[in-house]
Amino acid sequence: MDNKGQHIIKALQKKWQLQSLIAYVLICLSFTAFISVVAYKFYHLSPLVLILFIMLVTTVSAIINRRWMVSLLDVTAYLNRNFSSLEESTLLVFKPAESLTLLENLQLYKVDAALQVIKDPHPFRKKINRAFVICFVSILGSLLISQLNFNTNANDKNSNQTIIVKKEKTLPAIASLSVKIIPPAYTGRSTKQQSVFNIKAEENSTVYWQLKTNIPVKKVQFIFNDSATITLQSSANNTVFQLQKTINCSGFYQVRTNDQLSELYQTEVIKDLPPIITIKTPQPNTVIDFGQPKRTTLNAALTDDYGIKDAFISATIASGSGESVNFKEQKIPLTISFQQHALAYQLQQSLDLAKLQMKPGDELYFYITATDTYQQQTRSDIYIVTLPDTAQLMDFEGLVNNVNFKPEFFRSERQIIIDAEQLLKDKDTISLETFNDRSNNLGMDQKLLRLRYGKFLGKENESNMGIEEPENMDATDFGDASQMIDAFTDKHDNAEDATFLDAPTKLRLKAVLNEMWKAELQLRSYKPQAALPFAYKALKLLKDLQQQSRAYVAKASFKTTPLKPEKRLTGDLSKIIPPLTQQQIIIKTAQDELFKNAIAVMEEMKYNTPASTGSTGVLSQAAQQLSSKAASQPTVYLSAYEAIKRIIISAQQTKKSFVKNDIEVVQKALQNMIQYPTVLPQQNKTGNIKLADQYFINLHKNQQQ
Amino acid sequence: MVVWNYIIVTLSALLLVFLLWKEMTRPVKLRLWWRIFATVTAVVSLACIAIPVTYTSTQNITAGKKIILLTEGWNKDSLDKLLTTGGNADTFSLDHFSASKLGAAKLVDVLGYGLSNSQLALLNNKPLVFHSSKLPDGIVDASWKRTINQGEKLVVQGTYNNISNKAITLYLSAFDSNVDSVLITPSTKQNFQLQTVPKHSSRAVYSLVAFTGKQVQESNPVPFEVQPSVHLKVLVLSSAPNFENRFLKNWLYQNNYAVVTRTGVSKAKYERSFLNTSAINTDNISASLLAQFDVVISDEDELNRLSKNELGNVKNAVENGLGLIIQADSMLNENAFFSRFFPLMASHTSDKKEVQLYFSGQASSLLQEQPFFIRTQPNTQVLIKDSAANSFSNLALYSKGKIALTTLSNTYSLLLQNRQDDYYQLWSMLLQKTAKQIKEEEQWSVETAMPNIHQQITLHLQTNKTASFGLIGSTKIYLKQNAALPFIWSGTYWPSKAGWHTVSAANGQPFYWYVFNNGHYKSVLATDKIAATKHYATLHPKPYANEATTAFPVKHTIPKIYFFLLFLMAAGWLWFEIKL
Repeated sequence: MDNKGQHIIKALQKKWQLQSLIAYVLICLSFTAFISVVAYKFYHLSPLVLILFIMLVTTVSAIINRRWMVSLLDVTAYLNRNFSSLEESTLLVFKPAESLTLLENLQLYKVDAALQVIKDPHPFRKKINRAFVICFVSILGSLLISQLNFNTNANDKNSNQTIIVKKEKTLPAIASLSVKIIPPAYTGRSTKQQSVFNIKAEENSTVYWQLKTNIPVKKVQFIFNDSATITLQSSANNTVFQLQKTINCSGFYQVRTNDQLSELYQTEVIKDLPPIITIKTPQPNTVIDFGQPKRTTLNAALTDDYGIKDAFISATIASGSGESVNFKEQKIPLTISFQQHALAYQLQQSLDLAKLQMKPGDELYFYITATDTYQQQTRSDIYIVTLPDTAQLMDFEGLVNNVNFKPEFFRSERQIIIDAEQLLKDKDTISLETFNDRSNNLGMDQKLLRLRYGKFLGKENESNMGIEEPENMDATDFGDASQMIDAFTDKHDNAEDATFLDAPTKLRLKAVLNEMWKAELQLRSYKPQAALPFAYKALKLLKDLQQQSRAYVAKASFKTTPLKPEKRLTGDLSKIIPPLTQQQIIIKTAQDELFKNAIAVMEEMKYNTPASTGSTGVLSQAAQQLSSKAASQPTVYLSAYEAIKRIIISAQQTKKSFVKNDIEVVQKALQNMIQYPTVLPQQNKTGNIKLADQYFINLHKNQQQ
Repeated sequence: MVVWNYIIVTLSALLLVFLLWKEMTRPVKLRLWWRIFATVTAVVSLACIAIPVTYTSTQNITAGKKIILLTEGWNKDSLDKLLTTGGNADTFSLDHFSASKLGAAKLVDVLGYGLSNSQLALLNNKPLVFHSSKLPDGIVDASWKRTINQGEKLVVQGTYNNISNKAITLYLSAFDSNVDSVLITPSTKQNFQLQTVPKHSSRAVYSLVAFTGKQVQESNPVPFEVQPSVHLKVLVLSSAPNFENRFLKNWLYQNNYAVVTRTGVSKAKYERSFLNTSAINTDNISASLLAQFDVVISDEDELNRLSKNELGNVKNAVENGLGLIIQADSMLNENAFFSRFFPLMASHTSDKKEVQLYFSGQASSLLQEQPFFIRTQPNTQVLIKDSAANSFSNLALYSKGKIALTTLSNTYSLLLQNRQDDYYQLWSMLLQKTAKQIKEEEQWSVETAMPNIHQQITLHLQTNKTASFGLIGSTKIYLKQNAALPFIWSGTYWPSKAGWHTVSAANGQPFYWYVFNNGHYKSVLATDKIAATKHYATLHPKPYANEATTAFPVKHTIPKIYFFLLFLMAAGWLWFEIKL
């Protein structure tokens, strides 16, 4: 059935749907817009992306969330609720006419009439109002955020950038420029494309310039480091120029079109550094003592800036002694693979000395060699692993043919070791009591031996034995000159030092006593196994002592002049000519002096503008030095070099217009290059005042009285 | 000015005649007299706009009447307070004030930072009450040595008055690179010290910059001069070879100092070396030999070994300005001419230990075994001391010369310990303190600490000669001899441009001094003014005078706005009259 009521309600539905949608979209927009402004402000996202984001979010959420769709049922329910004249019967309007009962029909007429007179209901007014308020607040908030200057952050970023990227001035003839930097393949870096002249490239990068000029130019040249000139290849009616060059050192260059010279542009080369090898274990000098496992763990880290290609261990085994020393070199491959050319590798490898066929007395020298992808090799320091030979301590060789006052004692220490080892072998076959007894006896022997050695040191007293004296390596002794002098002089007046033995020998003897004391302790507590290392060490030290005390004196065929008894003890020195030295130091006119002069000249220029003739000479000398410095460190010194060139030009033209900033840039750079001066004594100046002199003279006179 | 007035009057008269003729010849004769009156008024007021019109009146000023002078930094509240309590006062700001306005006023109230010395001199010793403003924000005090030696530290000391509630960073900047900095905490008055070793030689202007965050608060120049080094000539006498002298000799030799050493190796046998100088006879320590040196370093043993005649020569030379550094052993000859200045005493501890050394603002340490201390005598100066104020080295005046004694005999250990700087500082100090001084015939100095542009600067010259004038650039300044100290000559100068200036006597060496610009060290100048005005106020207190009235002519200028309004009205009437 088509009645007026239906129309009215449908119209209302449409109207409300629209209103609801508007409110919904407004809220959506205000939230997304606020988020976008924040994102734009802090994360610098592109506005296009943000607009897309806003639209997408709004439509998608509108489609997904269909609460804004007002159904007819909603409308009727609302009308029923709010208008009593409809008597809760609005739904009747949509009931098909056929199915209406009589009562319903009557009611329908009533409702229809009521519907036509109801005043415009606005259920969404509140919602829309709220949406507008939210939208307004969000716009206000966004504006506030975009206006807020988070100056510290922003400024920092800007200032950093300005330092690195100086704005370039190009020649007017150059319309466009494209620079392609192709780093060497091994670096794995991608090709860079830029449209500025300042270049920062990896070492050995190929740089490809393409210049377009707005008018045909005869030739375009690049001047590298003020010396090498390269003409660019031209094509297309002399408007397009090209150059390809491999850059392998830092420096600067200049562009010349016809006769116009550009400013200086820097080329900075990032050097490929050789690999770095850090060995954590073993220690540079490792001794694997008797009884310890014959193996050492190698723990190292290899790093490089572009990748490590290969690494291996070079090992040399020295065996034998004296004239029959043998060296055996071999390359030990590393267990890890370097296929990936990674930037860093961690090495963990065990070096089995037995596998390397090392015998007691042998020494292993090894180092790690690493090669990076640029074929640069680095060698680590040499590390030494020693397997001491205990058997050697037992031989008589050194004792038989040596005149020495210590042989009997050596035998004793050796005897103690032999006995202790025998005791250990017999351990299983003898009773515990006998074992302990024999061990104790050995300890007694050790004590006697120790006391006999103590005599050499003047320490007959047993009580202060075994107390380890601190090693003489006090940090405060560093630079103590008297210690140095002690090493070369005798102290005859010191009773302590006035014995047979010199100070280092005594020190060693003390160490021997110390070891003996420890061995004795173990023997006395029935642990001959534990005593053995100390006994061995004591023996080794004694052996060393014995070697030390040997001295070779060559036979000399020197005839002394006969003494003249009449001259002896007369104290006549008349024939002796005292030494006389005369020296004049030649101080090279240091580079620093030149820079100092240049700074002074420029300081003068700041105030008295007409530059003197000598000053330009000083400045051009300084400019030469700066030029070479700029070639090696363009980032630091190039701007100063340009500035000094400008200063010289304006000084030569006796122009008054020095850019004060230029002078400061140059002064700063020169100051960087000067060493800090050291303090030197200087003569003070005072006025030549007779009255003052008189004062001091009279003061002195008064004091004398 | 007079010519200008005549031109104006003539032109106005011509204009008036022309306009009147125009009015007269107009066919409509309505309101002719009104029109003529308006025309005359317009032209006259136009002329009066161009020429200032003044009149003089007599004004009765009571003697008790005050003048309130507002100087820079004055505060409105204090002025209001002064006006309500004091009443009856004329208020002037400094820009509109001249000495003639002082008139018969007997009291001047000054508000703000006050007046400079030269301005105070113009007050004719009038009594003054100073209502000083608070200390200004910024650097209120700054000082540094204007000439330093090569390798010496430039030390800038001062006070910063930080009124703001933000921290301030002060930088000392050398040629645009910061070399030292200090942080000033908020709302404090804080002393600061900034230092660096300048790398350049000759004159330079560093700067002292105050930052809050990234904002520059103030930036001031720090001008100073690094003097070219003047090398000493040193004679080293020693009784036996030792490391101390060897290292000292090598250091001086490598820096191109002339060094002559005479080292005893046997009885009457000396090893001699002549470094950076030609060989001379050193067998006899004669007066002529000593005259060639600025400082003599000798161990006490060697001095005792010298013949009586030679020792007399040394004594005479010291009296005439030679420096003598004595390296003393434990024993000292009690009868020598120098011994009474330096009585020695052994320290109680005999063990070897590290001893802290303090000398000329520097600290170092040295290993000492039973060191000897000097019992400090009156009229001597302690040069090197330890943390317990025991002296290792003292300096005594001896007529025109100086004698120093040091008991340190292993300072070369500092070199071995790679502490060269300490060693250089120590020996530079010892040598510099003792050595003969260069006598300069003319010595210039600037009395004003911060010479400012357009300010009166007083310059002094010390000389034995008669110096009637000095030359600043090409300008002559005339000098006045000091009545009490006849060798001091003073003159004043008003610099008109900032930067380095030279002053020299006739045919003399130029002396460089720096003139600051108006914006520099504002707060320092304000502080100086406060002090000067306070000083003046204490010298010229408020009198208890009885009141009397005097007539006093005052010149008034009629403000030009009146004439302009008059002209506007007349011209307006003429325009409106046509429309009627």
